Amino acid sequence: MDKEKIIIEKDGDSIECDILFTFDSPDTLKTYIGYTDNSLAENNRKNIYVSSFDPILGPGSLEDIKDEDELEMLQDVLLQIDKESKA
Amino acid sequence: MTYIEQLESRINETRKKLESLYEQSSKLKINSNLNYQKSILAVELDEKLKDTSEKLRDLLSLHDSYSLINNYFNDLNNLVELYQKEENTNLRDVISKEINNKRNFISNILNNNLPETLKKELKVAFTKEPIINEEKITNNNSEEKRKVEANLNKVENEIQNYNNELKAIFEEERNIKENTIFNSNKELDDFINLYMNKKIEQTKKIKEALKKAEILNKRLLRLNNKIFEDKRLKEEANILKITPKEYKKIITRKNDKKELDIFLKRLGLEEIIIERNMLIDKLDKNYAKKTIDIKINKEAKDYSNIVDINESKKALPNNKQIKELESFDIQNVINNYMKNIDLKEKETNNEIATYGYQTVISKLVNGLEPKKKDGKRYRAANIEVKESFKKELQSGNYLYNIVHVVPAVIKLPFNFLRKVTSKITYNPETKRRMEIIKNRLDHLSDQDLMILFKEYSNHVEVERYSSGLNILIEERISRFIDEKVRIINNNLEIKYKDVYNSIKELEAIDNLLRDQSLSKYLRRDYLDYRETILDGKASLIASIRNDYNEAKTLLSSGLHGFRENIKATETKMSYVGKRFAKDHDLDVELLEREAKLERAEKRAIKDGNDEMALRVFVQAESLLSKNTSIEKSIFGNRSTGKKYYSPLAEKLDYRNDPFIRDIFTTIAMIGATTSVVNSLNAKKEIIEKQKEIDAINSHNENTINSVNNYGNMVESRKDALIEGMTKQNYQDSLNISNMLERKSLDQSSEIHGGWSVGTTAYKDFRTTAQNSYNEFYNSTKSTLEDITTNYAAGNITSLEALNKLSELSASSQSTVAKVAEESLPHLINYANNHSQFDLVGVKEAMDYIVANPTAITKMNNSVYEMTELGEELANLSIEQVTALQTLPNTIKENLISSATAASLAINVSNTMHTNYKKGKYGNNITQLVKNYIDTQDNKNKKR
Repeated sequence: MDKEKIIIEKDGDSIECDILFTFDSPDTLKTYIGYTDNSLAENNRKNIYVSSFDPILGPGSLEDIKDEDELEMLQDVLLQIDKESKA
Repeated sequence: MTYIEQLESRINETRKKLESLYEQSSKLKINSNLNYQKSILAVELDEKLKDTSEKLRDLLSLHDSYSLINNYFNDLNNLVELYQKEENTNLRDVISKEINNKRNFISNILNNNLPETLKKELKVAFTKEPIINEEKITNNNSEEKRKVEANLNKVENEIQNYNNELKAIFEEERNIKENTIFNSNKELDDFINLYMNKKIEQTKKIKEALKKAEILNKRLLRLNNKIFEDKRLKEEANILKITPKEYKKIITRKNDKKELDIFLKRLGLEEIIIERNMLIDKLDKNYAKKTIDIKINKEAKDYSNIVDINESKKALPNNKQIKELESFDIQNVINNYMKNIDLKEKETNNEIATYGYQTVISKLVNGLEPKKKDGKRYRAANIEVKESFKKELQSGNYLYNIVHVVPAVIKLPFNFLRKVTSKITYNPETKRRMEIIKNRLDHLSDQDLMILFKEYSNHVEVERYSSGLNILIEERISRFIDEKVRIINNNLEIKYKDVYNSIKELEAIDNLLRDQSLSKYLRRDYLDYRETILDGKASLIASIRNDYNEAKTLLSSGLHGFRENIKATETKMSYVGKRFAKDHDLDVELLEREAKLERAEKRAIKDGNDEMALRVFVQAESLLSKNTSIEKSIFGNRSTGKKYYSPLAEKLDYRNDPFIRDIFTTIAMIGATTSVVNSLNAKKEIIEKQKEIDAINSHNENTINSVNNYGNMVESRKDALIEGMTKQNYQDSLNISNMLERKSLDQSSEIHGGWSVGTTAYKDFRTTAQNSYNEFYNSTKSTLEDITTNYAAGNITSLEALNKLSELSASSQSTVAKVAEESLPHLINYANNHSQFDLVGVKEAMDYIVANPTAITKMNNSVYEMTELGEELANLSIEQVTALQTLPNTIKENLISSATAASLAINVSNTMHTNYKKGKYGNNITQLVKNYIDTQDNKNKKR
């Protein structure tokens, strides 16, 4: 599983990213995927990209997450992951 | 409690049971670590779930069918009421036909659409609630007779009075003429004009009254006949100890069939006898009814001698004009009748305009989809975190920024893709929610469904809702529209048969009439029968055109547009695969011929010219059919012609045919798996290239020569790459467009209990394809797993993996080519018998694959060789790297779509080939038209 990578293409460039986590939401009927290209932001922190896709169609096309309720859920998930990793 | 209430109560109970079972099942599975006993329980629960779902589906079908039939009953009752009120004979016939059509629809629903047990239940339910009071018309005959007699008396009195007044005018005129001396021309002219006008005026009144009397008299005679007939039937039935209704059925059938059979044999039309006998229960009793009408006409009271003045004839329209006026009136009345129906629908729409699609969507998702204002947070499930990420978080050395982007395109490792897909497919919570929405959709009223259909067809709201919901709505709306179109098509089929039987009979009679030695008696008989055949054909043709347009509007502009909207939203693609359409130059001459026929037909319908309408219709249909089927190609009579002929609207959609679906699926499955190999192939290749690019440090003059060599090699491999990519495109066009369509079809077929198949060609193909596919899939799967496992474990290098994948790809290609080659003859055989499907695109794609079996292999070899060469290059200049980048980009674009097809293939593989049963498919009408044309062509050749 650690070896699983995701390749995204942006502006004609292929970027290899590490998959960090995945989860589903029975409320939105979507699956969410978190991944990183290991790039660092100005604050020296790693960037995590989070996108969603429709499980019926498969992960052929990722969608941005803009909905506030979805963002809140994402925050909950990250807190939970963080908490569990330290447990 | 009414039956429908009972049914609804049963549905609710079953639904509750289903939801409770789901809950139990979900709890059991979520609290996993299933021991043996729990596993047994889970299996039992699954079985119960399956049974209860099936039961619910049956009950919902029963509910739908019952509601549908109920609607028809309402229509029927309205029509019966119209029939009773209507005095115009022709219009009564039109209404009578409508009544029979409605009965046919009900009969079709009862007989064709349901499992046997449900049919029985429906029939029992409807025997308790009588379909239609058939005796109502008969019982009212006496009362109606009294009314008609009263009217007739009144009108006859009027006639008498008008005649007396006319006589008085004549008398007055004669007196004045005898006793007056006219002193000027003006006085004379004034006198003549005054009495002329008076006489004309009076004559008009008499004529109108006479016409009324004539109609009433005919009506009275018919009622007398009916009353007499009923009395006789009653007496004779009493003797036989059966009901008059049963007795009437027996003798009507016997007499009609016998008389008709003798007549048709005399005309040399034995083959129609069989056809006619089969239809005799479906079609109205035109023949019997019209024969009675003719007798009545002959016996009708003749009023023509009552008025005998030349002036009155001048003042009234001539016979031709009267005929036109009558026809015009009939058409007008029919049009008004149709308008009334439209108005009725509009009124209904106005009534339901108090709510729209949002209300309907809200009904569907209530309690299932969250509302933004309810303050509840969305829940997450199935959270899976990578070990490496956990470790990083544990170390506390890293902090993360959350960034939200939309990547343009994504490629995922095959094993991840498969895992995600299977995980989602079996997510019980998602499945439960989808099932609930599906059930709610099944339970929506026709009005609700129509609202959704209209809104979604206009593409107003599709994008706002989740794809899962859209897919379920699409499936339900498709079923709803398909059912509507099926009913219209049943009606069309009956009408077409009527038209083609009529034209055959007409031509046979015309042949007999050409015989100069024919006796007057026979000639009169033939002419009478000729009139009978033609009667009402203009309105029949008009109704065929209307039905077809209605069905096409529902399917092509409606349902097709609807599906395309959904598809575009689902895939985020505006153009999906290659469409199976033909490109032809516009044939102006053919267009002109069609336009002429179209004008003639419309004119004939407008004028109520039955014969012209019938003949022009058949000509136009033949012209279309000929230009569809006559052109020779590898497909024989395939629709490779300039026109596309398909009289039944439903059959225009090739996606509804089980054979076509299966051929696509099998080819697409194999092609998609090959594409997965290719996408893996490309992925490794791209990674390798990326590494090489990363390794470039500085300029190195020595590499120039190497790059030149590299460029030359690319150039020398260009043809192989182009050929390979072309083939890949063909395959992808087959894969993508049809896999997407297959997906919704499979969902629909599951709901309908499987699609129907039956022909030998189909069975042959299926066996061949299935064998090839199984053999291929098993070997590819194990080899693929072997390669990826070894590569992941570091046992083989990326180059070795690439090489092995190229070899596997070559083997896959050979299988694809083999299957395509084996399938082609069956496709051709099938296509010969199903001219309604346009399969040129499929044929082109398959031909290319067969003709170029090694194209992809060559391409892959080229890529491999180039990669190998690339490894030898130590350093490249940035310009050279840029040049190299053009190659992978082209391949990337090509293969990304393959990955999409592959993910869909996995979805489809779970649902395909589970339920199917034998059945008929095809199109009787195209065959009917073709037979007619063949007969005509043979006749022409003999001449």
